[in-house]
Amino acid sequence: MSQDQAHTPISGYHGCDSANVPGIKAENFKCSRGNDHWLGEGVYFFGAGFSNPAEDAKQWAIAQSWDNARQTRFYHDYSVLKATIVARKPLDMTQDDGKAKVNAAREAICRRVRAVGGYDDNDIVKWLAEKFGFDVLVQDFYIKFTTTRRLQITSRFPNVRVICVRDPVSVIDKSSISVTYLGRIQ
Amino acid sequence: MNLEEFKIDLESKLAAMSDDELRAELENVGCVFADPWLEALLSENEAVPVTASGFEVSAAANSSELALAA
Repeated sequence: MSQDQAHTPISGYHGCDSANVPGIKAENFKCSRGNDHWLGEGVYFFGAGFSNPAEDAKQWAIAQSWDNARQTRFYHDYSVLKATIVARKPLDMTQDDGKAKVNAAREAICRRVRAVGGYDDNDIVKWLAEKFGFDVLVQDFYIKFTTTRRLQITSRFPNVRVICVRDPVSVIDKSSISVTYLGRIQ
Repeated sequence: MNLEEFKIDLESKLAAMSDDELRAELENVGCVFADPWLEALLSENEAVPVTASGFEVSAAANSSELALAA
């Protein structure tokens, strides 16, 4: 999704606890808050590119159900929701143009001020999104699902395309939200 | 907005901000900055990395830790 593709509908897949589905369909998605997300606060989806985004969302829902501290599951029934995302001002960091923008911002910031320990990628991207009003962020990541978490496998090669929607109400028509997959974790 | 337009806009936005304003915005998204006195010390030490006493100040470590010069 380049800037040229603003206003072009794309599909995003979101894996979650099935108990959340009625609320999402009735009131739209709610942003995840805090500073520990891939691309800052927003609603996260898996998008089409080089993997199967519906399957990615399913595997994510299964992996996120596990409560490692209590060695049990937060939930057993999960859903994969599909939503149509219509960005007005996307920042697509899977494309050269998006990568160049992030690098330009990082270099400009580093010339001006110095953060302790340097800058985290997410900090630069979050600042950019705030400053320029990017409403949808797209980036390829390597993320760990159940097996790769268990085996502690890390990689620099992305395995999923992540779409972060910063303001779901403005870019997702809630009537477009549908359940594409229901499952139960044994 | 193409890349060149973006860079012009970026420079314009940054030029309109003081360093303190930029720091404040970056702090809002999670960046951590040194206290002003430490920042000044680090900048000073970068300008003169080796002191007269033969000790080198490690600016990269973001601390006033002294490392013995080889």
